[in-house]
Amino acid sequence: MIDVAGVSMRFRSYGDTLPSLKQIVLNKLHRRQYKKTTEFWLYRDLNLTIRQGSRVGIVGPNGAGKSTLLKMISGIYRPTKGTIRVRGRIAPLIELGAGMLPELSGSENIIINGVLMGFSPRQMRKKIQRILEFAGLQEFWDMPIKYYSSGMLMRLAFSTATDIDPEILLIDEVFASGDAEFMEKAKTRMGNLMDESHIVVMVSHQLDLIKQLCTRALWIDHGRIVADGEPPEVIRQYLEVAMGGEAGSRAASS
Amino acid sequence: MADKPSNGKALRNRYARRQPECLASYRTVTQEEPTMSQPSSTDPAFTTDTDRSIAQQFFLARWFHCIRDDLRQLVAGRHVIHEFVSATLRVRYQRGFLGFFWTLLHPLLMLTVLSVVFSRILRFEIDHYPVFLFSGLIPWQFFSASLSNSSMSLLTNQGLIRKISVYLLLFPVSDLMVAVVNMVFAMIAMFILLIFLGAHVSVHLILVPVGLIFLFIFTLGVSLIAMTLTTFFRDFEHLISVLLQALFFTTPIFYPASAVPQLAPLLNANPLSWILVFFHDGLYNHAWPSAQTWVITSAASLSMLLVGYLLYKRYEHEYIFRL
Repeated sequence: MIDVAGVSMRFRSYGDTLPSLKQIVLNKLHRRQYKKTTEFWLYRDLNLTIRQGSRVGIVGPNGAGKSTLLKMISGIYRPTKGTIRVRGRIAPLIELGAGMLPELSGSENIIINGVLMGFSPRQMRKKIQRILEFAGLQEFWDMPIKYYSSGMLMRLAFSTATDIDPEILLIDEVFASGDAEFMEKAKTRMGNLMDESHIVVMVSHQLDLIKQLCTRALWIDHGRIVADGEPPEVIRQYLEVAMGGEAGSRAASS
Repeated sequence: MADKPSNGKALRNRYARRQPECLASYRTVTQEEPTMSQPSSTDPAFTTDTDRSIAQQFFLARWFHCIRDDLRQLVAGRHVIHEFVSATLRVRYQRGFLGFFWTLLHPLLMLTVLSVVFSRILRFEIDHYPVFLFSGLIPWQFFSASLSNSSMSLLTNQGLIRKISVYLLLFPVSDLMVAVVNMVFAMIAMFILLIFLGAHVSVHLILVPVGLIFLFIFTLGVSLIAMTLTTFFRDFEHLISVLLQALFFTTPIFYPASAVPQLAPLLNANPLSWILVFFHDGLYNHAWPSAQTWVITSAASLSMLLVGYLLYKRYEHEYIFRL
């Protein structure tokens, strides 16, 4: 279960430079700010409960706060105010290849990635063969991944990140590239993962995918939940506003 | 668009929140029994209750919880530390022709060069000058290497930190452990050299591990301070190397403290020169440090760690917004 209660998130922006030491000292001395740091609240008092068994698709324009919400749930960002309760083991597929070190070989990277996700090295060593096989990279296990092609890198990252048994799956636009053959395999695996996990929260701009896979859709804009409900209905409303009137309803009905 | 609070109010809020984050909100983990062994370092199941809990009402109890939590996280993250350290060392040495032999060869060669240079150019009237030099230089290299690495550790690992929920203290500690491994090999190289140089070994050698413990605690504290400063003010990235250079010359490493009485106040104010006494006494002087040395060294290293830890706790959840 994911329970988001009264969560507010403040971001400070410092322009293109961080405040220099001098500025900070002057600010402290004068008790006021010389260079204004702009701050804004992305979320204000957000309440959201996701029960076991739901698959939630999040839609919204760029910069709406979709990824921030996933990052708060996965614990990367701590909300400025409020409580997030999460029950269950989380598998964040937020950005693939995040923990990859270019100098190390494929199998070494698999271990590092797994250890970062909370597995022990021994557990990961058992998985290496299976992961490499799924990625189709058995011959390249020994090669530093800086020599991998971008497709190989993607395959390695996807195979490592999804070789898990999660209770909560957070997906941020992971249905990405790869050749046709791998795409098929990847789709099947994502389907299996989603079947097995108790909760799925996915962010995607592929609205068809959300319609297809989710049982609930959230439309988020500027840190507010604009609509919450059945995916076809929410997506129709979203498209209407996004594309403006007629075009939107045409796209939605097609 | 969420409405913006006025600047003045925002500033007051900021001043009101001086307490370390963990003290303001006691963390409770509400996760069910994990089916797989999973360290809490990546355990994102947390609540940030602002409710008053029992732990919040007692100052000491709060700190106890804080420290215990962090120790648990470090123990849980030992695999991560281990993998990071071995990865760093592998990257550094694996591809070379001589491989890991360099961990030994590098300090050996460097110590040879330095002892030739310093004993020819800077002559101090002391016997077995190389022995004296090495016993101070190796701890110094540990200090400077781990400081310059760990001050940048959040910045160099930002790709990871921004995408995975990972316990931040693991990064500076990993950097420190890399330096520890290098120091151990440098020590071995030093002992090899010392045999050739005709140094003798006495029971006072047990002062070396004691000194290492003090040095580790002190360096960890300084590293956390430097890491916080560098993350918040990038200027420190450039300053630190200059400061290290200055510190090198105001620490009795290549000269004995007795040779420069005019520097005495400066040397006494430098905690590192107190820590070095343990290495000098254990390897070179074959003497026991005075009670004063023990007190000052332990006070200096523990208080440095305390300051570093407090700073870390205060900004634990804000680092990520400055990367």
